[in-house]
Amino acid sequence: MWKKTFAAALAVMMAAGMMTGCGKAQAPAENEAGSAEVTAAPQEEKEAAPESGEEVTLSFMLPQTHYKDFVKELTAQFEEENPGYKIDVQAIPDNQWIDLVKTKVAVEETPDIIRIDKSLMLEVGEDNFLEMTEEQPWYSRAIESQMEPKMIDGKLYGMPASGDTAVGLLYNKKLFDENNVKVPSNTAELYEACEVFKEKGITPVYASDKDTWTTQVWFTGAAPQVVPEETFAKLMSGELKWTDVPEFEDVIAKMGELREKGYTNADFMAATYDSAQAAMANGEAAMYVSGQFAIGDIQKINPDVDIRMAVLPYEKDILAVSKGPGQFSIFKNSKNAKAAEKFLDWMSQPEHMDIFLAGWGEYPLFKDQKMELPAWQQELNDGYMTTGNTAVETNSLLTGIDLNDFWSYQQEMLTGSITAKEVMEKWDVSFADQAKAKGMEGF
Amino acid sequence: MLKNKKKIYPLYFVLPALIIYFIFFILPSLSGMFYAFTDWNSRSIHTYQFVGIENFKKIFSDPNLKLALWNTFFFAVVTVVLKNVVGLALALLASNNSMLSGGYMRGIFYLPNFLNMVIIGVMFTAILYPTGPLNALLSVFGIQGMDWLNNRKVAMGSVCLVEVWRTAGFHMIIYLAALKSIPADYFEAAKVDGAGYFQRLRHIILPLITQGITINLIFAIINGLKVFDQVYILTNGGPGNATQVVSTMIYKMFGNGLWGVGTAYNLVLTVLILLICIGVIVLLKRKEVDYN
Repeated sequence: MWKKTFAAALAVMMAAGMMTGCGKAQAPAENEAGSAEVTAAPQEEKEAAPESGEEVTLSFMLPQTHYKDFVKELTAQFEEENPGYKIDVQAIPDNQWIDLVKTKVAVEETPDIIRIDKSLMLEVGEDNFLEMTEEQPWYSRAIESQMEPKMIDGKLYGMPASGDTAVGLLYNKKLFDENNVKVPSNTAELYEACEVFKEKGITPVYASDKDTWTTQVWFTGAAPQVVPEETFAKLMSGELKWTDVPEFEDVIAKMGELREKGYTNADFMAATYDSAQAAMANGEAAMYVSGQFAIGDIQKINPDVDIRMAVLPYEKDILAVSKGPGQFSIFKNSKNAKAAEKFLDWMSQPEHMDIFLAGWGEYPLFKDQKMELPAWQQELNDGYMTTGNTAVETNSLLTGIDLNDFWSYQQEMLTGSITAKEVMEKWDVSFADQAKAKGMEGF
Repeated sequence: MLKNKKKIYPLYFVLPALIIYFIFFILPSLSGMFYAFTDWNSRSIHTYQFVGIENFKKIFSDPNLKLALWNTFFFAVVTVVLKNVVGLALALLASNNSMLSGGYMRGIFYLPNFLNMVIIGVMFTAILYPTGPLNALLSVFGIQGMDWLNNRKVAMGSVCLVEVWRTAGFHMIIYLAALKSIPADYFEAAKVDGAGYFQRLRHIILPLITQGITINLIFAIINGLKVFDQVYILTNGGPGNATQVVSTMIYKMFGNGLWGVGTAYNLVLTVLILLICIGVIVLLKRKEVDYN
């Protein structure tokens, strides 16, 4: 008898389990059909201003390296100026950032606000975020050219949080002046400069290849000097393969050559972004290939060090610029959407944005900002940003593509296990796999 | 008597535990198997489709998986052998040597097992750094050090050694328990017969601790094949992909939103672990000895 009861109980449980699975699969159909209702419903709940004396806690997720001191100060200032509002910051370790965001979106456990790049937004689906329209008080104040790179199919899903930023060669001006070294503008001049510093016992170029995201800056900064933007469009549409463009192989090979010639620190495979900051701040290294954001990090360690930025010395005098994909976005299912909008508006005010963007070493995003630029930034602005002598960095042209494999292959080459040609061959395969999985046309 | 016991404890008493086990273990495992045959990914969370063995084809055509599989087996074999050899050696030392048999010494041997892998990762990243204490020590003896965690030729070996250091104490405890269960009479009889230490080890100790060996081997094999945190924290699969293992590949797949492929990878790993463990259990069961 008990066997029958037991069998029946198991059967019921299994059936229930299967139905749970089926029920989950049915959910999107309802969502798709009733998307208007789904988006409209939370609006009623979004009256979250704490006039009743109730406290509103806004969850704000961002990568750990973005949780800078000036961000901490700004969130604290917001809480102070707006009693009843609390910001619960969720700073996620950078190496878990992408995975965690994807998982949180998948299991619908999203925060109210997120600092997100357009590329990741495309991966998780822009329909998870509130569309930003002219109804937002800051919208008309935002600089149009800074909103454009964040738009998806003509729609904006976040408040601009980053603008055009350059990637290139950071150098210690004092070391260059003291040793009468000319700032290099191509690889031949770079090697000459390296020889001088090497002889003096100074690390010519600091390489931090343990962190692959720092390794790849060479490629993203140098490739646009020799490969036109249209080529990347053809790569993304499957018209061209990466191995069809021989210039890529040379860019990668030159990156390896710099290490082979001994122009970098010997422990380049173990060195990290943190150790790079310290080496540049203490004058142990003369140059570092990175983005302009690194200047602030270096000067935080040593405020007196004079770090400047130049075009990546590869072939042409063209500054690679990231089209600022970062934005503060509000998740559509946020129960505190109104309060989140209030926070974004507060952040967009010129006095707050000035602090935020100066911290990042970036340029204004709103028309009413009157930032005073430091010397290095003014130099870049006058020499490149305003003259248009720039090109879009590679990464910004590959929106929606996870480049981690490409960066790993570059690191693999630096260990000597594969050649620059093999890097491109392996990346061709990984890229095509990804493009197919994402359903990109042409693959 | 036996019949009475059955009446006192009817089998349906196991039902609550079974239900919990079914819901939290069996059901997710079965659903995992199901998803391995679908194109489930971050863009089609609820709209996945059955794709047959496509995910498995992809896995076995991926050159990175071959490397990951090789690394996983390398890690499993090296750590299984070393953990057991070191664990048994420590247990034998602790059971024979009065200085080492004290609770404090056993505690010290077991201590690394208490430490969180993240702490161990930070510690060994510093120790094994090119300019770290290990290379400094080696240079005292005139030995040229190297970048232990970022040289593709030695990185996997370094990770294995850290793991052996971490868990040898755990295996020692199991061997100690097995050693304690051997009756002293056998040793006395062997001594009277003039058996030396290695003869006693071969004919008394090893046959009588076979159960301990089986447990230790199974633990070490499962942990070896499931290796993840050791690699993730110490090398993150690098340099390049030199230390990628199956679990880090699974993690990568999930990170890339390719959940169906990731689940298929997981299924492959589970089947491998099952087959190897069943083989080891069957083999060692035959070797078990009871002189009683």
